[in-house]
Amino acid sequence: MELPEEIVQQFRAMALVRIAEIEASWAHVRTSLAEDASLAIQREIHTLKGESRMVGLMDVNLVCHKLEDLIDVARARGYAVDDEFDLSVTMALRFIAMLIRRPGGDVAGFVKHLEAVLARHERAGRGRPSSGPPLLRASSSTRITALLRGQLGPAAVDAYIEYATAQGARRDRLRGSWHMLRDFVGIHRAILTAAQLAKYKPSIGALARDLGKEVEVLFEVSTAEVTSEVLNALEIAVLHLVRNAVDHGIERPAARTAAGKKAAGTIAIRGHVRDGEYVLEVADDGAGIDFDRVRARAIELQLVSPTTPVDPNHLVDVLARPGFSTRTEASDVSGRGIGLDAVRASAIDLGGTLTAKTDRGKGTTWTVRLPVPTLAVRNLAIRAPGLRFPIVLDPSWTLLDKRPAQPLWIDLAVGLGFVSSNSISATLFWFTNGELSIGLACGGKPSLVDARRLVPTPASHVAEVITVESVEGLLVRPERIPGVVA
Amino acid sequence: MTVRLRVPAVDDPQFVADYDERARVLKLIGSADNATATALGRLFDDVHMELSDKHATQIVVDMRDLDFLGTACAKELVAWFEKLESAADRYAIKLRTNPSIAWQRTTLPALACFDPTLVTVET
Repeated sequence: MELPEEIVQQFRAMALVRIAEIEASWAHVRTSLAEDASLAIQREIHTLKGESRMVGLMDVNLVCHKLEDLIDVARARGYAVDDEFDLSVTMALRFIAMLIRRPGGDVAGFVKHLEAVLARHERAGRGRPSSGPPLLRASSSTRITALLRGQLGPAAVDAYIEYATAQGARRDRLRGSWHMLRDFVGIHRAILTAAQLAKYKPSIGALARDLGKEVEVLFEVSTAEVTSEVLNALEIAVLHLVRNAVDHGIERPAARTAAGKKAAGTIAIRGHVRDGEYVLEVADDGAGIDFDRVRARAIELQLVSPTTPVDPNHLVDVLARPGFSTRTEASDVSGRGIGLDAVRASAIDLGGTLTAKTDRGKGTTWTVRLPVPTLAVRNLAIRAPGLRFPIVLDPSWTLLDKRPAQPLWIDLAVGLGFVSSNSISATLFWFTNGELSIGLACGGKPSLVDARRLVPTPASHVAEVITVESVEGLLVRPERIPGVVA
Repeated sequence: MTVRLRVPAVDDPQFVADYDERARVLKLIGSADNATATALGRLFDDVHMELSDKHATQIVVDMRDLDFLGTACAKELVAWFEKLESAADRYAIKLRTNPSIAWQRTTLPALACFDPTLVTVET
C-alpha cells in the first residue's frame, strides 16, 4: 500500500493537532470530569487510530489502540486515576507524537509498559463499558460552537468597522483584535474534491484483506466549495463509515457466495451539494444491520425498554451513541462504539444529521447531511463617501433607474456608526428591496461584483464582513440601519 | 562548577535541581509538580546547550531522590529527548532511578523506549 507523500504529510500535521487537543482534553477531564472533554478524547484517539492505519503507520495505530484501553479504564473510574496512570497516558501521547514525526523508538517495549499499567489497574471498565449505559452526550453542549459563532459574528463585524475606519496607531492596535476575531468566527473556505475524500482508497483494500474480505470501492464525489469545518466533518465521516462498512457490513467471500452475492463486496461513496446541504452517502452491499441484535444490546444497556416497539430510526440513533457497540470485544478496527459517534457528533456540531437505511442481507446506506452556507454573494458594490473599503448591498436590493415616489435618503457612513468625511464627490443612486426605496450617495455608478462571505451574521444584523477579490469589506442591509423603517 | 536551580516551593516538599557540570550529573530532588515545569524545561534547555557546546558524550539524570514527577515535567523531559534526537552532537542520557519508589520502578523504564540508543535507565 503506497499513499502519496502529500497525504501522509497532511496526516502528520493533522495528527499532531489531534494530539494537542487530546492532551488539553485529558488535562481538562482530570480536573473537571467534563463529559465533552471525555468524549473528545475518545473520538480524537479513535480517529487518529483509524487514520494512522489508513496511511500505513501501524505503530501509531498499535499505541493508539493501547491508549484507548487506558482511556476506557480511566473513564470507567470517573478519571480518578493515580499519578502513575496519568503519567503513562501523557507519555503515550508523547510517544505517539514522536512516532508521527519519525519512525523509531522501542514500540514493543512501550506497548509492554502500557499493558503492564493496564494489568495493574482493575479490569473493571476495561474495553467497552458493559455494566451501565453508554456515556450520553448533553444535547445542549454540542451546539456551543455554532451558538458562540452566531453570537460573536455581530461583535466581530463591529470590530471590523472600528478597525477599518480607524487611522494611525489606533488602526494598528485594532488590526490585531479584528484578525483574532476573524480567525475565530470567520468562515475558512475549502474546496472539496473527490481526491480528498478518496485519499484513503488504497488503504481500504489492505484493511479488507487484513479482515479476510474483498472490497471494491467506488467514489462519485462532486467538487464543491465548502467550509473547512464541513470538509473536516466529511473526512471524519468517510474514514469511520468506510471502516465500519468493511468491518461490520461486508461479509467474508464464502458467506457472500453462499448468499448468492459476488465474492467481493462493494462500498460506494457518493457526495454532492443538494438544496444547501452537502449530502454524503456511504453505501455497502453487505449483510445490513441486525436490528434484533442492536435492540437486544440496547435493552441490556437499559437504553430502550423491552416493551417498547421496535423503531428502526430510534435504533439507528442508539447505534451512534457514544460507547455503544454490539461487539463484546474491541478490535483494533472497531468495537468501541466511538466511530459512529464521532461521525454523528461532528455532523450535529455543524447543524447536520446522520441517518441510515438498511436492508437485511442487502446492505446499509449511511447518509450524512451537512448544511453548507452560501459563501458566494453576487450583488451591487458601491463606493460610499468616506469609506475606504468596498460595500456590497444585500442581494435583496436592486438598483432603480429613476427616483422613486417616496424615497429615503441614507448616509451609509453615518448609518453604520462612523462619521463621513465626504472626501469624494458623490452621486445619488436609488435602490429598492421591494418594500423600501432608498437613496445612497455613491462615488461612482454601482457595479455587480462577486463577493465571498467572511464573517456571517443573522439577517437581522445590519452588516457582515465579506471579501471582494480578497479585499475585506462590508455587506450591508440598509433596512437594518437604525432609524430606517420599512 | 555546580549550577543550582531552586524552584520556589508550590507544594511541600519543594523541588530542587542540581547540575554538576564537571561530573555531568543532573540531580532532581523532591517533588517536580506541574508548577515547576516551565523552570525545569528552561533548565533542560540550558543543560542541552551546554552539553552540545562541549561535545559531551553522556549525562546522568539522577532521579533517585525524586518523589514525584508531574505530567507537565515529564513532557519537558520528553521534549529534551526530542531535541536531542535532532541535534548535531548527540549524547547519551542515563536515567538513574530508585526502584524502591513505585512510580519510578513502573514508569521510568518506558522513557527509554523513546530512543533506546540514547536514553537508558539504570537502577
